[in-house]
Amino acid sequence: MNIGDIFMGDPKFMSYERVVLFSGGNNIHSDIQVAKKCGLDQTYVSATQYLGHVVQLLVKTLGVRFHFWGKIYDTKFLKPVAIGDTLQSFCKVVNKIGEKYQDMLVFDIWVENQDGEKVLVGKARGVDWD
Amino acid sequence: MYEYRVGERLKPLELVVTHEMNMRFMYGVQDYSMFYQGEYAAVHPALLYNMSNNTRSPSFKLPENMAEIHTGEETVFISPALVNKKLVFTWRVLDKYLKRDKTYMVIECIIKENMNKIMERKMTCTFVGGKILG
Repeated sequence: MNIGDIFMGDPKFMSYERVVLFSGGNNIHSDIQVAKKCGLDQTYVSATQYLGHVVQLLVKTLGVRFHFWGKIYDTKFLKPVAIGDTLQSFCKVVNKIGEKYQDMLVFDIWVENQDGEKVLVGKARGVDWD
Repeated sequence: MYEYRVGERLKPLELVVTHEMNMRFMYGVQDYSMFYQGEYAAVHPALLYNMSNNTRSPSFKLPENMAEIHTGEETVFISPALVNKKLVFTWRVLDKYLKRDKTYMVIECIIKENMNKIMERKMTCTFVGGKILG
């Protein structure tokens, strides 16, 4: 893997059924009445759901050893995600750190919606064992 | 929750993840890797994320018509959790501050299986609804 390489996950449609599977019912993620009572204009997808997409991409990119001391950090959620949106995760190799850990890779990570808007940005790091 | 003090701990959650529960989250994020299936399946990280939100603590509470919004995240994956093993989730309030008239909190969650650490999170959140908007 080289600095500048970009990897992407599959586009994922955020259906109501998947949101309920993930977050359950009767909450701001799945129930419009609960969301409105909390001052929201609609239900919004839990950010942990698309954090799951990012982890899937990092494991696909680095292998299952990402589960051992892989790190996601400096993550910000820039825009809310609604049911019906389609999300795609990306990671880009931006650095290799340390002489002792030549294969420790640093990534920019982000998630885009169907309009190309970033809804999540952050960084990740993990070892390239190959 | 937004009235909690820095250093305060929430009541821990004990959870045994079943294969069925793991599959539910796998469908939720459309990740069907064999790593999360079979006799020695690992728990999907998305499930760990969801269950380690501080809203999952048995002592979590918010005023009526208020919701917590996730704004930032830091996670270290230390080792995979296994299905059918007891996991313990513990939470502690690390920081609390005001920014643009909104209350923000940084909450740490540590997940352990026996003495082994599985995951460490620092999540930042703010709040909507209730008295804050009122």
